[in-house]
Amino acid sequence: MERYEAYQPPDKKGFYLDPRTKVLFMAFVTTLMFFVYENLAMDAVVAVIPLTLLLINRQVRTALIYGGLFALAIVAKLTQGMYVLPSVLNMISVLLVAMVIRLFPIFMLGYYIIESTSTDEFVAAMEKWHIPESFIIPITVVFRFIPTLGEESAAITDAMRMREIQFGTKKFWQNPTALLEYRVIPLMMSVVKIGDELSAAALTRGLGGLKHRTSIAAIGFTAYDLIIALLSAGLLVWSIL
Amino acid sequence: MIEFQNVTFTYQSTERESGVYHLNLTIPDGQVVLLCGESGCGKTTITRLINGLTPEYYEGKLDGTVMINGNDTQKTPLYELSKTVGSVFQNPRSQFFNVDTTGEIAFGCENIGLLKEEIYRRIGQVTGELKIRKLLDRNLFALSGGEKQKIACASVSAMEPDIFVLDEPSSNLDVATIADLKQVVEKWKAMGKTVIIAEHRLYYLMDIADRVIYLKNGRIEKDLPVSDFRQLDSTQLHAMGLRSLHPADFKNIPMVSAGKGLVEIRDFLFSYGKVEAMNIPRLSVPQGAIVGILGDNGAGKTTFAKCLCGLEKKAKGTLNTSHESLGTKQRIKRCYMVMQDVNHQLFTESVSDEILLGMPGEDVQEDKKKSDEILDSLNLLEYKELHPMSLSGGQKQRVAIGSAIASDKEFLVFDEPTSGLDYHHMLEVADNLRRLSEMGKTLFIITHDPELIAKCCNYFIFIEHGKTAWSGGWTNENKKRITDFFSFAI
Repeated sequence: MERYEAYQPPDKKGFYLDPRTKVLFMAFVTTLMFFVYENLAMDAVVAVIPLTLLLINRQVRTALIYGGLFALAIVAKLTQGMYVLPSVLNMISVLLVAMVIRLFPIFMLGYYIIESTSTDEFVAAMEKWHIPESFIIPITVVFRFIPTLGEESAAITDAMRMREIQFGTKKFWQNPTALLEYRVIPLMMSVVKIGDELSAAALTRGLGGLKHRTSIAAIGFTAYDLIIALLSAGLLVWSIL
Repeated sequence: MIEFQNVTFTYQSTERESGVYHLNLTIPDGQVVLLCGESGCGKTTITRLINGLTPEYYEGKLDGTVMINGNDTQKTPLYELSKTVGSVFQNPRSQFFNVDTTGEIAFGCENIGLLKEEIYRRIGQVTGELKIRKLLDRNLFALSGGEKQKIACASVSAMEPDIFVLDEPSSNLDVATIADLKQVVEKWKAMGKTVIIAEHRLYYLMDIADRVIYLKNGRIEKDLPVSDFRQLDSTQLHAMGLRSLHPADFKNIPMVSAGKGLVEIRDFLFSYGKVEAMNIPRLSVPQGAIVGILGDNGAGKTTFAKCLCGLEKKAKGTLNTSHESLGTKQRIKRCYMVMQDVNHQLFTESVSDEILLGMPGEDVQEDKKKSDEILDSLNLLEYKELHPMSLSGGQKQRVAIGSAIASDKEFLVFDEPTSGLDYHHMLEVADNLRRLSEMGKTLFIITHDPELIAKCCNYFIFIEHGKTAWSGGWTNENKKRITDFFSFAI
């Protein structure tokens, strides 16, 4: 029988973070945003980090949208005292601005982590921390499902447009909540079905004996992880001062 | 060796798949066995009994024993069984666990605890054998259905099991990829593996299978060497509910009444970013025709369909009938696509609501009457109060057709309406299509099913690289082109 050459994983070039660094850094930023108030300079620095990471990971569109929103929020914040808005509008505006400045860095970081980490790397990293498998498997399923949700949702949007089930039509005003129902129900149906088939496929490939599981994922700390660690230390010192 | 000793299995839940009764079956090592029969005959259940998914995952009551290489499957955990039995499933979308191809091929090996060097060796070996080296280190979501299916085969093959079980692996594949799948099975056969394939499409397996088992209502009706099975003629096969052994001969083409006018497509242009995906300057089809859209996967059939339905907002071009010219925005009101996964387009809680949803809603009584008429014409009236999701695949498809009729759509597009259907269900779909054509609707059918084409299509568009390579009716020349196209799989 023919023999073929063994697989050679491509050399990792350029920027790469260990999944453990990503998770820890995410926890750190979340805590930081929770405790630090009214420090626009720090907010700006914190916003630049996910922005840079998104750009490095070539998620240019997301980075541009996020960057734009952040700039708008900063402008709104700086000009707050210059005009008087009706109270309801003012409330909405303050809420939105706070969300973009304080919550979006966390969301964006999460998005970056999901896009840049392969399932295998994540499992390997979590196993190094001795996280129980009953916890790891559901999280990896979430990783796997995010792109699927996107695909399914796009198909459902098409189906809805062909039936003229959309915002603003006469039918819509008769029963506005139905729109949500029409979107969510087929999505749930297909997710349940895919999840069911996926579990069956995973079981026939030996998932479940995780105790002896090995991994080909090359994880490990590099100089880039050190940069993130130093950055975090710097932010920590700054927030305490 | 696989041994079924007086096996009876019934599902606990309301599975569509039927149980199996009193099976006695021995499959020696190295045999390639084809399991066939109508939908719900129990062939999927047999594959699940072999890979251990029943009764462990799909629960039910099992009597008798299934022995794999001398081990009772009921006493062997799935994790252990997975080293001996590898499984490939029907839907390429829902059988990968990773997002990248290499990780996916390694997945099974990692689960059974192989060392990194050994996994690298195996990845190299299987990707060489299956000729998919260039698919390594890619994003699985960016691959075509056929490529995904090859990755699934590689992933199973890398675990080096003795037995391969495939459950309708060709359902979502085109002619060219079916030929590739055939090569994979041939490879396994040459390596001395046992291969069990449950299938509706039979023709690609005729020169690799050793034995054919025909099931009916959960019982083995026929168990033949493939040489005997090949003697059966089309009439006998169709009576058994099976598809033909040959792609199709297109000898008896039923004439379908086509309408009078012409529908003309003008200047269809669409691109993804800078890549031109479609460019059709001019194309006309008879109004009321059933137009088969042919071409390989990735040729642009789906893009064409989406542009036709007005789903691609940035697409340019018009669809002209004798009295009007429809741009993208108008087309979405006049066209409807019955999707391959019809679950995406059923929104309401009952079949009749589904039909009513597309109606004007001004005169409720009138709408209800009309809705009943539509349901009656599609043999769905008795299900009108049921939840659409509780229906079978074919019934769901008819509900989707009904909703298109209700909203007065004139142009209907069908994306693979017969993938994974047995002979009788395929005929049912062909009947529905003909009926729609008689109502004056113009139909566009994306299909890889030569038998469906022979039953109802009367006009063709062949798409290649986003352009129409040729179009026309059943002329002798086109007949030859279509025959050639489908003979590729043999």
